[in-house]
Amino acid sequence: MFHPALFKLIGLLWRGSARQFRNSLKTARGLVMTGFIVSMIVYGIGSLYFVTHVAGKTPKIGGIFNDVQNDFLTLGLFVFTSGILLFSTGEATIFFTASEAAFLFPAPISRKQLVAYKLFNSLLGIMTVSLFFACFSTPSFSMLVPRLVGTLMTISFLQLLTMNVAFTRQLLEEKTSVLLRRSLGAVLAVAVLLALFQTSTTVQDLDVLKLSKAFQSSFAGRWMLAPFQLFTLMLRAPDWTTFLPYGSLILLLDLVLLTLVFRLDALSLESAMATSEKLTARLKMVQSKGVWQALARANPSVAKRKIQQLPYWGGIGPVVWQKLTTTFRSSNKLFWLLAAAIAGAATLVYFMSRAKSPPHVPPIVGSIGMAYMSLLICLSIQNEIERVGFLKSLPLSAMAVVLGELLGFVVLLSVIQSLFIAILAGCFPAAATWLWCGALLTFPLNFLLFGVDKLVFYIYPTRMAKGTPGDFQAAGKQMVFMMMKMLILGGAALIVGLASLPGALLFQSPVVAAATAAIVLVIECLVLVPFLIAAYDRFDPGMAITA
Amino acid sequence: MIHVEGYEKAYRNTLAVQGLSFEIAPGSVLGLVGPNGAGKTTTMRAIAGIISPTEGRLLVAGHDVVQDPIAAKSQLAFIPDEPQLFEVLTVWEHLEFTASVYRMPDFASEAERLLEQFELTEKRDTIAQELSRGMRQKVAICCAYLHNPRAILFDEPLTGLDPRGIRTLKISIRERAAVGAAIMVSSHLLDLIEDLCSHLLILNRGRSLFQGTIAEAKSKLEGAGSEASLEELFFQFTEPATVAEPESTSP
Repeated sequence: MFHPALFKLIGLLWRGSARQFRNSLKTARGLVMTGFIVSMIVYGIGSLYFVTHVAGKTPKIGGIFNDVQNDFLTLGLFVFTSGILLFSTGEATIFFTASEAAFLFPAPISRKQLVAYKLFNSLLGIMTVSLFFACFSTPSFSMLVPRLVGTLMTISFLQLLTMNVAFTRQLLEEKTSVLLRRSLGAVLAVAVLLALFQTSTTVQDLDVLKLSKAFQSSFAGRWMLAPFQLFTLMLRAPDWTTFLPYGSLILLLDLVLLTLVFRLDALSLESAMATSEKLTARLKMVQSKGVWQALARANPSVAKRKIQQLPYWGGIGPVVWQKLTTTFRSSNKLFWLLAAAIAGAATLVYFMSRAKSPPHVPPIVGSIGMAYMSLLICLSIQNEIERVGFLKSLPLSAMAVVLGELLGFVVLLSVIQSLFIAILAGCFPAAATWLWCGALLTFPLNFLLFGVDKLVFYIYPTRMAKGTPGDFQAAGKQMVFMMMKMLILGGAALIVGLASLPGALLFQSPVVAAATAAIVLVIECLVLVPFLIAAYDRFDPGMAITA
Repeated sequence: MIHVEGYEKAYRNTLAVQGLSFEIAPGSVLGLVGPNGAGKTTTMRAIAGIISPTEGRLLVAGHDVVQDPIAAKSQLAFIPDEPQLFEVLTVWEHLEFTASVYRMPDFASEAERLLEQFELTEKRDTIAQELSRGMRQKVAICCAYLHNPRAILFDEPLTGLDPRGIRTLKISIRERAAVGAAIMVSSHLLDLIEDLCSHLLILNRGRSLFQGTIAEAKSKLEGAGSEASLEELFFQFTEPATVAEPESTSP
């Protein structure tokens, strides 16, 4: 069943990753970068351990954990499984890297052996994740093993289900597959709507735990969630006696799915090669052009999306136009992401207005929403070394390029955010003053966020490299750059805070505080521009580093 | 050694390759040329057992690549246009893994000979991530040659190689053909095809426009003698205004 060469490959890759890690410790810079990322990981795990094992021992926090696990485990599994059945192509579970495809596909290795190789690789990953989860969710050491086995079987269930979905899709005709998914989607949508309707009639306030409980105990909810309740009962079993019956059932389910994976025998090297090429190309696109363009589907209809040419404006106009057109034509997925965020925010606003939330809640929600939007867009735009090289070859001044690169996004984003704030202000008149004060800050804040991101990039042009296992240096470099940006932004925020504090204390007015903050922010933006121009002028694509 | 009979490949509404039949005898080097989208890579991948044919039979060393893929692939090597290596493995580890795939316990001496031939001995312990494009290509070729395949498929083999690398590769292809391997080279570099290949197959829009020896190809060129270049021949066959009738006979 398992070709010995595949064991050999796994062993060699582990050895290679370990060597990569050792090599990264040989230079001072590598040592610092690796140390940095390792300490961040240790910090993350340590915090989690503290929260779950120290703070979690206290009755209050322990009680919250208990409620969260009880109420959301079943629901989470239901959502995840529905997502797999309705939307997943399963590509990721049967994804062969370009090198695997190049070496393994033309080699005398059977399709079943390749599937076994993928499963074995997945199992190693699943075991690591399970160990992590089990350690942090185990109430007592005696329950560590059953909790570990339970988590392993649960994640394996999701993984095997995804593989079966992928193989079934390959066996079925496209039309049949789409029809099946749509039918299942329609049934689920009706059931969820029924459950939501019953929930809204029983719960009147914005208590997420109450909402979740009501949803799960509704008639449709009980039917939908019953199979997933088994997983929760297994994972929450207090002792072996309770664990074994549920564990045996889940094990049986996993074995059935595993048998199906091999029985379907549907790994088509052709489609696996196509998937490998598609995902490899997408990865390259992410590295060079960013997430937006990587997610965009190339089709002729995008060429129809046109933005009117802007006036020249000393060279700023063409740069803004080019940047916005590119984004506009490659932003399908981002549009849906923002739409989902807005739908989520609308639901939240609806429940907040029903619950008659205190006046400080809407501004907080608004700030979080704005920050989310800004960060989402800022992080999605990949700075392209080649693009800057191209811009530098144009007969445009550094100021025109720098402002052109920034203004398009900043203006657009600020307008969207102001609309969002206007809606919130309309829904919550009591908090309107605070919200409008926030709107005053959107433009300079966005300019500063995007500007600092560009500044760090111009000074340290970074080319995204494909991460290889064991190479913590690249991740370390990215973290260092992120910290640099955070430090600059934190310093700017501190100055804004200190400058606007006296006015706010003296006049006790949010308007005065916001106006002062806006003025200071604008000054900071103006100070940033010469730095940006100088950094752009000395930008050298040859100095690019990989991270 | 390589036998293709009535091969067709269809993708939904597109027929990528239609009714293709040809044979590559041991010791022959077949040049596969055609414009972009002609079906060259599709044909090579089908012979390599990576994609399945919609119609037709493909045999490698007498084994059907669909019915008996393991036996067929054991006799075959496929070098794709982009050398895809495992980034964290060294050059030697690539050879070690390849030897394991083809179950060759005593591979070391042959591997060392290949490294020397392709001037990679000094790079033996270098990880793939640190190799140039040309060196990666050489590693892929060494891995392909290691199990002494009886059929070798090259897709754009010269990309990224320096002049010395090109010469080494050409010599190695001639050597392999001399010991009886059937070789197929797909390339846009018509000079390479003319220099290296004994036979020619011109594809356009999935159809064979010409099959035969290079000399036969030249003799078909209207108004030109044996001095005519392959480039002229290529354009005469593939330019829309003068598309020739599909070839119906095998060489």
